[in-house]
Amino acid sequence: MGKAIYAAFGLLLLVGYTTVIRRGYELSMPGQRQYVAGGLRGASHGGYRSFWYSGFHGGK
Amino acid sequence: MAVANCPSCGAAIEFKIGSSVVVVCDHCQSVVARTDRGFEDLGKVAALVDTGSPLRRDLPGRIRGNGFRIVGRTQMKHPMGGVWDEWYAAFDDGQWGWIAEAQGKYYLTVKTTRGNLPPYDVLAIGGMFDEMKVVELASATVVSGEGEIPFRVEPGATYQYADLSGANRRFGTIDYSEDPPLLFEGEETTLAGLGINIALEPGRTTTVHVAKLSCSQCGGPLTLVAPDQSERVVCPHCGAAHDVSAGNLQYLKTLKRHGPQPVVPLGSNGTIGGEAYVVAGYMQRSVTFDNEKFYWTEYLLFASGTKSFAWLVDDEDHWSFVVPLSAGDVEDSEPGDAARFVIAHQVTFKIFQDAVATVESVIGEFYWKVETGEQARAVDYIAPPEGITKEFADTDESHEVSYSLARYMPPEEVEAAFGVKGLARPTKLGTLQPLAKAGGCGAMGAIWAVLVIAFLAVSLFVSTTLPHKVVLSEEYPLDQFAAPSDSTTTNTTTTGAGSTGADWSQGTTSASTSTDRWQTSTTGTVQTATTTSGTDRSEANAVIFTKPFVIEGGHNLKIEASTQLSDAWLHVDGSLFNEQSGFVEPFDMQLEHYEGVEDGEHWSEGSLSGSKYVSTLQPGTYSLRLDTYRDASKPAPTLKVTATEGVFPMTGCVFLVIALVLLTIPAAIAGRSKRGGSESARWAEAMFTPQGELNE
Repeated sequence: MGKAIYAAFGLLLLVGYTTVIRRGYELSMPGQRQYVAGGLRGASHGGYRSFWYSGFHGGK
Repeated sequence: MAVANCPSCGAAIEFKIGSSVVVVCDHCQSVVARTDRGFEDLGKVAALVDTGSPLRRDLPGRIRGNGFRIVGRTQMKHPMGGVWDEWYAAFDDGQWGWIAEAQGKYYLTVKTTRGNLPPYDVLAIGGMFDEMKVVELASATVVSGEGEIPFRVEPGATYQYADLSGANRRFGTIDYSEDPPLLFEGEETTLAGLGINIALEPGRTTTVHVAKLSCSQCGGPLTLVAPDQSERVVCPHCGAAHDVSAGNLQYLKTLKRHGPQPVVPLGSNGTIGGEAYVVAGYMQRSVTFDNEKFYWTEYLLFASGTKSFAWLVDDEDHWSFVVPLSAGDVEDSEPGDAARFVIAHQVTFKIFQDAVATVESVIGEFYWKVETGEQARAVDYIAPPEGITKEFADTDESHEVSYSLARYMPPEEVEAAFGVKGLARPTKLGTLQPLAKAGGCGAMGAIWAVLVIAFLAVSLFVSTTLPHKVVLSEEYPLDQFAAPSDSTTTNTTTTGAGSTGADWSQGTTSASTSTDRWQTSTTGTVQTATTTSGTDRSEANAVIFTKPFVIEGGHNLKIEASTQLSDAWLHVDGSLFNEQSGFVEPFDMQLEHYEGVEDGEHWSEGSLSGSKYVSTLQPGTYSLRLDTYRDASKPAPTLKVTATEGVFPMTGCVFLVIALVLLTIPAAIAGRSKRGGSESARWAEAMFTPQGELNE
């Protein structure tokens, strides 16, 4: 029983690992991934490009 | 052949062998000696005890080409109880041989002419004589006999003897029945070694009869599996101890402490190593360390086929099978004491424990007069899975050192051997338990190995099949960008074609200080970078927008930046963005390099390259915004930026390490459990270190 659970756990890890490396998931960055609202871009002085001149600060 | 009449009963007696001295009358058990004056009645001996011996008078044998015939025997009684047979073999060449039989072993000796033998009193257990070890000093009493005997034997006579054991089964006895003493020398052998094939003897059987008796105190059934061999039986029901004499019981006393009950019941039949055994007795013994008692139990096993005894020892659910070992087969530098190691069968056994073992409780039958409280010094040596125990048994009447060889038996093997179930499994490493060899961690180890190989194979396969597509590789010489100047505002609009040829627009830009346009042409595309200089006089700031690049999606993106600096720094606040979706993912890198000499030693620190991994992306056109800051007083370096789609992710490396740790821990625990621990754990329980020093 213990061996079966261990093997299943190992296979689960292997599937997860394969997915992670195949798809290229990164743990560190997705949490920071954001989208700039179109309205905010349009409202920026000089258009959305001006938004980038001051850098992205999470919409603040 | 001389024929005469028994002086006691008148029956005919025959001296078939010319050199025999005594004949025991078959009718009245009178011992008749022939002297130069005629026949002399030396008195009667007791009736023979049925020892279950497979030997008998007139049985022929042959050893090393010299034929013999067994013509008589005496039965001797040991001071600790127990009767053994000494058979007398008349060889074809006129020699006499003595065949002693005890507990399934046979000792063939012949009388030597050696003189100057040591007096009994100067011998000590473990001492050496003629390269043989003194293993027993005791006395023997003649209790019975039959047939022709080559020496004058008197019923009831007691004489001292010293048994000697040497290498290669060499065996000797110094017989102090005469003055000067006699040395008999020969070998430990077997029935086959004696050229005796019992199976060919018509009407002979080695089957022992079983005596069914009742306890004299509680009336409970007592089944003696070796009534001819047993000296003591303790009722398993009430603890009443009885002396056994020729199958008859004589009550001695009731033992107060019953102790534990055997998990392999008395009378159980089992087979170990092809030999059939029956459980005859059971005892609990203990040793005391630091005022704490440590217990184990021992099962006395009787092999009816060979009339021999063995032991099954249960020490904290670790089992071992123990058989007697000839002292001569053990190289022991201190036979009278405890050497650091002993050698047997080319194996070195290290001393593990030296303690006085005490019998705590006992039930069943035993071949000696066992008592609760009986003590013996026991020195344990180990070479897992085997061990040797040297035991000193000293009484007022006898001194003996004996060796026994133990072999570790897993509980499963005991269960299979005796048909019992549910034996407790040990929870820690046993003294003789072998450690599993590398790769021998069982099923869990095999699963672990398969999984590790699978992880490595998947890593190799995926890493070689990932796209590794370079979607951006540009160099940005920062000296192309204007240094900070007066505050002005410049608006620029740039248009061009992306790396894929698609039109793109950066729209309107604005800068707070000054704005430069940097344009270059690479493979027919236009890249535009707009810079702005910072207002801090110590820093130069430039913002670079890379050309757009197309991501096919479904994979990650690795962004690498590198530069050449010396004692300077370059900080990059970057963002990956998708102009269509508004997706943005910020990152930053610190590129720096410092070096110098301090106390005559060169040092350097910092890194001139950095990388960031962006998790799997949706398909689309992306750009990088690189907000660079550098030391304005240093020459502007060139920043090289590369973006590669579909690389082995950093998280994958972390995942791999964590996964291997998660897989290894349970496998290691299982393996350790199977191995039972380590050598250091084994020796932590020992009285001695592996080097033979006393353990602190």
